[in-house]
Amino acid sequence: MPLLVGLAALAILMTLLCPPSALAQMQVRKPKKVLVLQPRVLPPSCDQLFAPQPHDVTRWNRMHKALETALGTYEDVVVLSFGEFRSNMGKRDDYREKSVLGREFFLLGQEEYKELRQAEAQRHLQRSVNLLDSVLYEFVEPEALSQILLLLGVTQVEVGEMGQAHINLRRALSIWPQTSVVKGYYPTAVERAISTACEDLLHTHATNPTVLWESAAAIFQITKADTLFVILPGRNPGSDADSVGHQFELVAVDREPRAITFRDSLTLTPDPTQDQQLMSASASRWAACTPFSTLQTATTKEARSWTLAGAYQQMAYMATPTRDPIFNWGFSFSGSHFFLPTFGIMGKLQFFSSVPDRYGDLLDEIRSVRLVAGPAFALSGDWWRLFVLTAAEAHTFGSFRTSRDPDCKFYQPDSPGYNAMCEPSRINQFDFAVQGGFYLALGSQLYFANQLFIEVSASFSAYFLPINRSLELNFPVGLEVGGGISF
Amino acid sequence: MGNNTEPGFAPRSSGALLGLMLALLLGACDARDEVGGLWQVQGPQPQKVALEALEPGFSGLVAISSDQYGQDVAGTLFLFTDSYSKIDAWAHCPCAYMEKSEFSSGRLTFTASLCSGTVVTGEFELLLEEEAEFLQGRLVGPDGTSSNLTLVRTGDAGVVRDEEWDRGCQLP
Repeated sequence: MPLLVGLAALAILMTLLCPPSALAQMQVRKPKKVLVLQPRVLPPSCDQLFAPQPHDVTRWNRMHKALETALGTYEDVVVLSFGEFRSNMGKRDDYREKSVLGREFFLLGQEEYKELRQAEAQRHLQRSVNLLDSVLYEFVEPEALSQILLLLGVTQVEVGEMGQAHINLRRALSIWPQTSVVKGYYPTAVERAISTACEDLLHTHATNPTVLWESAAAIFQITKADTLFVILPGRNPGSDADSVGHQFELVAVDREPRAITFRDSLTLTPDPTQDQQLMSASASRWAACTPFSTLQTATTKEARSWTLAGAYQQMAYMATPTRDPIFNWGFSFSGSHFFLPTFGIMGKLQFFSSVPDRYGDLLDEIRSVRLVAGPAFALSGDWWRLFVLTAAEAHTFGSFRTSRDPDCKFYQPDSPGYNAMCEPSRINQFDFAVQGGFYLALGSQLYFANQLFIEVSASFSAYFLPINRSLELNFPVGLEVGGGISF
Repeated sequence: MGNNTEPGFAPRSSGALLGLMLALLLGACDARDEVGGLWQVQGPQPQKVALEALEPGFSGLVAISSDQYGQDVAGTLFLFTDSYSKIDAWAHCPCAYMEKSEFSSGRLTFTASLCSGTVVTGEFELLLEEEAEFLQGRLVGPDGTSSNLTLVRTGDAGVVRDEEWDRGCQLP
């Protein structure tokens, strides 16, 4: 009991001196998947609707590539290539089925429009859009979807649904900014509605990337991306010379929470070769501020999860057939595996030899082997571990004799003195025996040199098997001092 | 026979447990054998002594070989004589076994049944002078007569084992 109290006091002292440090854990960042959407460059003015001009977007495509390259340099960022995204979308089983059906509805609606059956045309064109939206058709065939939306908007103007028409016309122009309409092909009201939608788009698109909100949910769900990047070029500045000083934005939207988490205002330089540097700087600003989820890896179980140790042990039996406790010395070999920092299993194999007791009642040396195995519970710090081992024990004892008659101890066996003075009935014979019971140990491991440790532990056992055991050896109390290695 | 204590171990106080734990740390305790060893009448040569308590006219060499177990003592009282005619048995029974031997508080007591049937009682004190240890006392006969005897330690318990002084009384 005093020893156990002392060890408990030592544990308390260590806890006070060593501030509770976090368990040895390595914080690993969960990689972030990002997708950079293709930039949509708006025309410089809505005049181009009816008088198309060359629409060079080469520099913006290069800017898109430069941003993908810049983001890919970060270790915890996984870039989903937009090209692969488009390609993968087109290969999905539901894409083929729905895109075919969607185009069927479009052709039907187109026929109905030509036959002046606007109501039926509107219904079938809307179904077409719904089907194609469900497979993100706007990113695979943006021009085709734009044509469908344009026709749907025109139909809605002609049936008087101006609000919905404005939305669909605006979307058609944002998906495919190069859209043009033959002057005079549609009624004046329709042309006016298209122009109004265009003006609205040019004025609001730069600051309100509606394309994200309308498609983001589907993109996140299909690609499992964590962040979407969109380059908002605004109105096409035209030539490189005209682009000097042109302001544009880079926007990032996270899946959780569904919000714009990064917005960077950038300025085009006259030198297109500086675009990579421009995107790298912006990506750096994003990477510095964006939060990363952490993975608590099983590093905790990697650190010191296995131990092997050897120790010198002293043990004494409290219940003995002799008048004094029987002391033993021996060696202990142990191993453990901690599945968690606080729980594991431990096993010991120990060999003992007895030493003569004070009265010499033990006539023969007792040699024994003990096997212990069971669960261990632990508290760990940076350089220490306290553990409690509760285990089952099997202990084998070699045969031995005891006697309290001094004549049986003094005289040599089979000598005249032995035969004359020592009666056989005064000698107790204990044959080979195996005992089983419960084992409890309280120990500490002090680590140094990274993997090596010194171990001190105290133990107590109680035997209750076999039920009718005749051996009077019980309640051993032990003390171990040794060292080992962990890995 | 020694005065044995109660069977089993029953620590009576926390002090005893503390001592046990200390013993665990230091290893098993092993009490020094205070009277264990070989004791002889010593001079330049082993000297014969006359022991009236044994038999009037006895003159011989006396030695004790013993070992101690707690308070219990076991041993043999050796009496060597090559000239004593009263009882021929002396020639054939040169020793007696110590019985009821006990050593306590520096005092050794025992009884011994001589081959003639005489039962003597030994009462000795353990003395230390300079670097020699002595057993100084007397042998008391059944009629109360006593003979003083002083023995000096000439060997420890290891010598008793090595030189086979632990075989008891051997017939020639």
